Amino acid sequence: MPQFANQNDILARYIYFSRFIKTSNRTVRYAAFLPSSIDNKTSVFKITGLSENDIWDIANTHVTPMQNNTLKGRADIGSEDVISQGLDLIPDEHPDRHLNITGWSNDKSKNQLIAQELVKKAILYLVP
Amino acid sequence: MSALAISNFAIGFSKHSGVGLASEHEQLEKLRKEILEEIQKSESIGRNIISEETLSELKQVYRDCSIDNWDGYGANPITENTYLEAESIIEMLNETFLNFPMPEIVPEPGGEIAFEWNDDYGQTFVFSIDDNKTITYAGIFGQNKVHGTERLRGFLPRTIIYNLMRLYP
Repeated sequence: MPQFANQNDILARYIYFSRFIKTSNRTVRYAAFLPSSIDNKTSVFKITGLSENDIWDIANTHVTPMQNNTLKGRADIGSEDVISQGLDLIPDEHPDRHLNITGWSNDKSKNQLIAQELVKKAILYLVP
Repeated sequence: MSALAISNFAIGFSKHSGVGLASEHEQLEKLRKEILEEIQKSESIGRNIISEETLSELKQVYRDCSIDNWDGYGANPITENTYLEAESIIEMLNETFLNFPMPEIVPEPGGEIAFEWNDDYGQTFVFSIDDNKTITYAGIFGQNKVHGTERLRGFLPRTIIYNLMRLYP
């Protein structure tokens, strides 16, 4: 059953590329939020109300098995912060709690700007 | 302190003072120029060391991101052309001799290489290059935001220099 996001939800963007994380000040780089060149979407999971263990379990179960790299961390962001940038949150049928950030521009420079705005609101959590 | 600022006040005499006998003034002026040349040489050496570090970082990014799906979400590989364009951009940045630091290198999922600057006040400026010589840029300067595209034609576009000077006036 697809899970829609309301304006108070928290979303997690799981990060598998170490250079998207700035260890000097524990922040995430804007490029972590840029859409995939395959489908122009950014994959996230709704994590509202979950424990830290459950949040990491989502990645371990549904995302990491399909990756060549190990999980490095995640960037949490509010669904309201995403929508305020003119983007959409579209739920998936599977896996549970999965959504895609869509509505990115055809103008790459606009997307760079949006991604910079998103990381200002994002909170980085490193893998424990 | 920049060489320019120091040059006006070398050894405590303004170069425009005209104080002292003509021969003494000439000696002081000669000494001032020698000091200025030494300072400029050391600044140039320092900057070259930093740009070498940036070039080394760029090479590592290229190595890490020249494969498919390097980010785990289907990212395009960085091509050799893009890497070479980025290398030339770093050389251009090094040659401007303007007072801003070397950037951080950021790969983008579309296969572009980006150059990122952030200051201590939350301002940020990024521009990226692809293998078609297209520069894409975006910046946040307080309440002011900017974004657009330019072509790379053998030199850094004025728009890029202007926005960097907004960060590092």
